Amino acid sequence: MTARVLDVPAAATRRRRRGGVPLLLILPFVLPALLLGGTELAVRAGVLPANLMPPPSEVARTLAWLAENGLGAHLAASTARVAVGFLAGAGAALLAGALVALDRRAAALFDPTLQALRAIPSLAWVPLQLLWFGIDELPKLVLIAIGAFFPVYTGVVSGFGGVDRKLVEVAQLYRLAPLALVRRVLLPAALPAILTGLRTGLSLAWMFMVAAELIAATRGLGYLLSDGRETSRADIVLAAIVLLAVLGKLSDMGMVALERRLLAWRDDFAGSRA
Amino acid sequence: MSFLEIVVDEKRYGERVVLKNLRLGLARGEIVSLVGPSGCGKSTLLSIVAGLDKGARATVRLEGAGPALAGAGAREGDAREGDADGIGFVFQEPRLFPWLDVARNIAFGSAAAPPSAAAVDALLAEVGLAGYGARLPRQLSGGQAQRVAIARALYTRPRVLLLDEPFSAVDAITRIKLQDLLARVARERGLSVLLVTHDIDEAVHLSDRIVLLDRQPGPPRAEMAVAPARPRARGDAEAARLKADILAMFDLETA
Amino acid sequence: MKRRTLLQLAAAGAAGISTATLPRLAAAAPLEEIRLDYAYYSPTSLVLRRFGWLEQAFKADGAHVKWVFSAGSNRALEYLNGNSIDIGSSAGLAALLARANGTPIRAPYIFSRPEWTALVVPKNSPIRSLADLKGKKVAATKGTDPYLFLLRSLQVAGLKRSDIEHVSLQHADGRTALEQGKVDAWAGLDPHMAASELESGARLLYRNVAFNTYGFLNVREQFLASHPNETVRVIQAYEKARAWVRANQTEAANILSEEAKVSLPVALLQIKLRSDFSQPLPGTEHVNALRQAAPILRAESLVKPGADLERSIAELVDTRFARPYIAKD
Repeated sequence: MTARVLDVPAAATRRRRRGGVPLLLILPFVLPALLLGGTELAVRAGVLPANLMPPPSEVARTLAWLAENGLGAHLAASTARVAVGFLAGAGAALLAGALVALDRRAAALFDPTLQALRAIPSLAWVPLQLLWFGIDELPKLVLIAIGAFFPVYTGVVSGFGGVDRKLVEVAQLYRLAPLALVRRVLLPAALPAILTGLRTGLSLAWMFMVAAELIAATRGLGYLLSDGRETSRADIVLAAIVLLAVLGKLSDMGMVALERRLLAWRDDFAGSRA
Repeated sequence: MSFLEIVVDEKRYGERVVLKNLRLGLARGEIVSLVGPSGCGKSTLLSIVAGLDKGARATVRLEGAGPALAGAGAREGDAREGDADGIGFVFQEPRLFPWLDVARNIAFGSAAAPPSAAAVDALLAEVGLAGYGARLPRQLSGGQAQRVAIARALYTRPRVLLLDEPFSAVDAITRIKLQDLLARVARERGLSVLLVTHDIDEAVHLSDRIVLLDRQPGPPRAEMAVAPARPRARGDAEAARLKADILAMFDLETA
Repeated sequence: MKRRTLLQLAAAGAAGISTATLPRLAAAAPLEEIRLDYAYYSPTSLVLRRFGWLEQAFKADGAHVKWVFSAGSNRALEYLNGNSIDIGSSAGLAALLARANGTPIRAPYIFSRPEWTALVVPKNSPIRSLADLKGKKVAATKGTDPYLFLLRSLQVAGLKRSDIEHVSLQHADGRTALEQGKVDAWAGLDPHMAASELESGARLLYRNVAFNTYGFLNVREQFLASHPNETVRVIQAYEKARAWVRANQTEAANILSEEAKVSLPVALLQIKLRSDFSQPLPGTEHVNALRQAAPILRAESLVKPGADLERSIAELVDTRFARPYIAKD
């Protein structure tokens, strides 16, 4: 019986843009460019009223003006609040989540209450914070910490809960003490879910920061936002929004980089596309 | 008394009794296969021996290992971490920790002392994966990962090796290579091996003794000695006859 | 191929934006609903709303009257800018600020001349003069007369906004903060200010009638152009309310007291002693007050650099529209 040799066609050569920039580098900028360009044209043509939608060129001018008039202080204040609030909230969540995930009695004690608290929307906390903590830094930091707490808590609990039982069995073979089990097996296995929780928590911290600064701030991007609102300066409002978007994106990029470093061992779809 | 003595009075899952009145002894350096249909309790038995299953009324004694490994008077909690009581275990899936590289996976059992690079390298060479120490589990094929699992089980220098259908998840060619590896490793180290398998060819090729369990909880249905000395060639006429005998036994049962 | 898709996308985007704004720019249709505000700092608005005179005036047309509560000039102007109300009440200087920043409004009517704001300190405060405010926490609602009053008062003492720690709180919250000791001073607004004085013994640190910039009734430019008759009817209704308040001050105070949930003495203080309803037609007096006040907007960068405030004043203050309808005293 002779074996037949099949004709395997040569792989099609991929057509390359002659001397062009790769498409994947251009695509992220297409939508923003369209939106900004379209808005600018629409306002200049009078289609969009300028008092409702300042053109991007004006927002850019306002940003430049702000940069020379105290923007640094606002940025520093907001960033500092997010940093402190996030660390506090995420830290508490890591502890609470680990406790609830590992101890059944602690879970029965704490989890139902925490799940109920989680359902409370951010703005609903504001009047309470005002009442209890006043109008200084504390209520703002507490609010931000609350915002960061729940995604991280959920990430930790589900991360630990979702650890493959098969891996835990291997650890049991070696008679690992409970603390060693957590440190050497549960924590690394739960890390993807924990990091996702941290990332979500960070973006929520930014959101809650804005809500917090609307309470009664003297500095910060939320203060700028409400300043623009109260004095009919839509350009300041937009400038503050742009800055919030940029800062949020930057901090998220930092988290993604951290994720990539810590989770390089993962064997998943996202990694295979890279 | 045997080198490894296993006595199971009773093991039940809820209402269902899985194992009952089972005695099994292994001599030093003996390879024993546990063969039987699904649900006969062979994996459960292995878990009991490994100390993973605490809910059985059973006693497991290993010569020279002090108090019983399981059952009344068993050591619980005061074992030295990483000790594994002189027992190594290979599961059906490799179960490597995906965040550790191959070397660290192998050395996982040595929590107390820092891992010995020389020992890890020697094991890697022995399982045919020299130089793979820095790779991550996701970069390994199924067969390679199982080799690492074997190396990991051997790292703590066990005297008994337990394997639960270790080669059922790999292709036929890899399976043969891994069987040869197991045979060589067991022979060179003089390990006592308890192997649970569905593959009768495998049982006949590797074992000194084959223990047949059936679904009815109780003593084994049969125990058959495998005469030819190890190492054996495959495709032996003797092996084929033995296989036919075993199959016949189970055919009769299901009739 | 790619360029064509890009152009298609751009066209679709622009079309989408323009379609979204078309309803706003629609030509004047018969009025179905007239939207205006009421506020505790405009007692006549409360009276008007209480007696339903506007509803009567518009019943024949079948037009519905919608009342929206303004917690301060900042809100009223925000609603006007966003086309949520057609007619809104605010302080004159706040209206100028909004106009200068692009809010399309005109003010054809003055609803009162109040002395409704002052700088307030708690009963036992060590602060004795304006200069003592340096470095202190002062609560004020941004974009309102008290806020602008605060800035002008600081200027008197040679201070700037950056010399104090401004805490942004709406009027009622500012009073609470003052009384709870969370801020050192408060740019107050009646009736909250009167209530704080009478109920908690708060002291007025600094008063200046000239720094109060009148109560402006602002109308959206577009509404004024497309519905002048309806605007006239609103002004006429306001005139009716004004006459009634002047003739029935105590009853008016009762209404204010009920609506704002303040005690009668507080309401009486605001209406009898600190409100003047005698000059409703915008004129030189009001324009001059704005001219005097305008520089603070530039000094504290509340308006965009290069704003033409003189022109904004001219665009804002309508000295002629309401003249035929104002009753001569």
